[in-house]
Amino acid sequence: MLERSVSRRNFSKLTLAAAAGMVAGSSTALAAEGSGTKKKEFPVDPALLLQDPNVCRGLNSCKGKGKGEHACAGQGACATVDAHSCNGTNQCKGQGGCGGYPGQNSCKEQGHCAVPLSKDSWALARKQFEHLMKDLDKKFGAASAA
Amino acid sequence: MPMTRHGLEQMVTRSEKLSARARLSIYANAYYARLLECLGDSYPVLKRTLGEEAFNAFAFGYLQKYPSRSYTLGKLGERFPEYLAETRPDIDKATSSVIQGTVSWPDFLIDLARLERTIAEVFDGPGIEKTAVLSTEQLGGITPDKWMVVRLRTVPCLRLLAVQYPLNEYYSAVRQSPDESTIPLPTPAESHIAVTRRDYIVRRHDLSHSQYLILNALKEGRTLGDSIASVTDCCDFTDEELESELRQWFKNWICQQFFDSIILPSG
Amino acid sequence: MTISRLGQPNLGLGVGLRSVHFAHILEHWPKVDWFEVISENFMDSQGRPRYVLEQIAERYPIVMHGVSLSIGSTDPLNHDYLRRLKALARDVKPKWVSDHICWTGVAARNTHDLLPIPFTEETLCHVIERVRTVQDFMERPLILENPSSYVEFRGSTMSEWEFVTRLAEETKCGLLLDVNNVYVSGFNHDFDPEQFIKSIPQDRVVQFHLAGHTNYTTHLIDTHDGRVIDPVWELYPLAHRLTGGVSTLLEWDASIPPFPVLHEEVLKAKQFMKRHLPSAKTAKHVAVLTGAEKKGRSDHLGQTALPQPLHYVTADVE
Repeated sequence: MLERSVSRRNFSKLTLAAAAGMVAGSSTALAAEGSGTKKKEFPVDPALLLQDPNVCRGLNSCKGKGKGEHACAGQGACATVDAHSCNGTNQCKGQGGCGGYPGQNSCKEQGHCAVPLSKDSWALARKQFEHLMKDLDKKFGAASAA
Repeated sequence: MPMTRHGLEQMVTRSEKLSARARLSIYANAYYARLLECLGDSYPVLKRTLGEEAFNAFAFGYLQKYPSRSYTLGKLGERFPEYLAETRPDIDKATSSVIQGTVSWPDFLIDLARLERTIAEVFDGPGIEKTAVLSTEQLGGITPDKWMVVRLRTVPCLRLLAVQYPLNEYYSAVRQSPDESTIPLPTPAESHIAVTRRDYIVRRHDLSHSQYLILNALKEGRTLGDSIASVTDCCDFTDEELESELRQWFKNWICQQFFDSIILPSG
Repeated sequence: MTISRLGQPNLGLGVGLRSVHFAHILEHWPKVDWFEVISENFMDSQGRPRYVLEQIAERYPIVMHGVSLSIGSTDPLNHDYLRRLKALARDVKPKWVSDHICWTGVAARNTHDLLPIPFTEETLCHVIERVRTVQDFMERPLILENPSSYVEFRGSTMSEWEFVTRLAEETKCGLLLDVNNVYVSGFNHDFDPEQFIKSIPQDRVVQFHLAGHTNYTTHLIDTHDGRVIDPVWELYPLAHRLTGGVSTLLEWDASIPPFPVLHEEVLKAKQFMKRHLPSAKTAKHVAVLTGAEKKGRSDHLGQTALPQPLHYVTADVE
């Protein structure tokens, strides 16, 4: 391994590199804004967000409302790290609140739920964990003592 | 406090069709059903990972220990990651410390809960949609001799997480797969995630360890020079490589709107 | 002599704003008369829910409907909550602010349920005093709703409608008459819903609620997970006629349909408004399971049946 003491680093140079990156980033963002490929909604006029056809980045972006390919074009300018597009099953917008839990009869008596108590939860979790690992043919260690 | 049947009927009347106890149990059942569902909605990926039965077992224990004290359901799951950490099976009861030195599967669940709670907080917390972020003018106003000592203030929605599994990838995989499918559990590997919000949508970005250290130092209010120094003895880049990396990282972070202002030392 | 609806306008036929419909509304700006929003979902929001609400409030009349005031609790009023509620009202400028005649918890714990109050002189005094305090603080009348309930207290010395009437008269608060809740509670407590509707001071009714419920044969649960059932629709003309017509709102909180289905459901109210007072047979619905209810019940088998309220907004994540 290379020996590299802190003192050998040229901090001034490194810091200036960071600064150069920031200025470049800032002008990239600005250029993108100017060319119209990336519309900057805020704080200019929030209402535009809804009128522009290129509004995937906005409120209903990820609902796959038929805006197709260019729906997420606005992201392009900055997408060096997050290459996520807005594709999606409806993951960008959960079905709020309700549905799915067969609740009413989960409890037998007032105040005594049939659901196991917390000390057993980790055992259940371990079971699920082992099940998932076995499914995938992965090795896993023994459970630690409770 | 258990109540006798007589005691119950002293307080609550029966209807033509239901006893007092059966009527009261509608409320008792609804209490858990409602709050378990709400917790499940707050931790959808954890719930899918654990399955409904195991998730509800944790959620039930959590509601016993930390019943809601807020007027809003938005805070119901606030302490769930903490609860999981407190009840993990490999904890030494005497010292409250984790027995094993190595990463174990409970870490995965606890980290996943932390990530989901962070996402929820970023989604509805303070953001930058109506405020200005760091501008070209502000950056242009800094003279070269000052860069070492400036501080970059991170935006209020930026949260940094250090976790022990590649959770960001796992989270995406679960969200993008059909409800019933099984997603491979990742093998442990330290990973770092930035969670932020732009245009009202929560964004997740993977970070390297070095990137995490720099951003964390900046978030804590250290100068740009000090923040960069926090990585110099832990990464294997040459100066030239590091220079090039830093240029790219900071460029991305500006694009991703991680900072809202630049602060010169006073005086 | 009171002015009808406390002088509030009849906003027409509205629906409850739910986050699953945000995208649809922002894209289509449907021609719905007004929206009711759950105050707690927006009062602390600094993100998308609040932003969406701001835009909707620019284009539609808004009413704020709360679930956490806990006006009947023995805990002190939560002043932090009231401050936030007032701040939201200042920003959103709702036509009015409503909540329920209930308590939600005690000893600082919140059950997030709408729990019933024993109807006694003592509880009435307690609630009257608290309503006055809240109205003074909010600088506006409160509009209070009759919740669905599943128990009645042996200690009650008056009917629910008497309690509601005296509360409204003493505090000058407005009433939100939930027609479905009257029907549900009437079934559960063996009273005639028409008697409830006829007995309350109609000139204080500012708004109606309509919603679906689930029939469990022995009792009904206010699940808000489907269409309004026929017996509830049959009570609506009575309420409409007695009040002279007030703002009507449909709540749908579980198995939420696409927005047009929701909207279509509330528009049915127009037909019922034209109907004359239904015949005496309506009262029989209290005790018998109607065809519509049976159908409703089988539709719900194996599905969620959670008593409302349950209001939680999930995050938009990319």
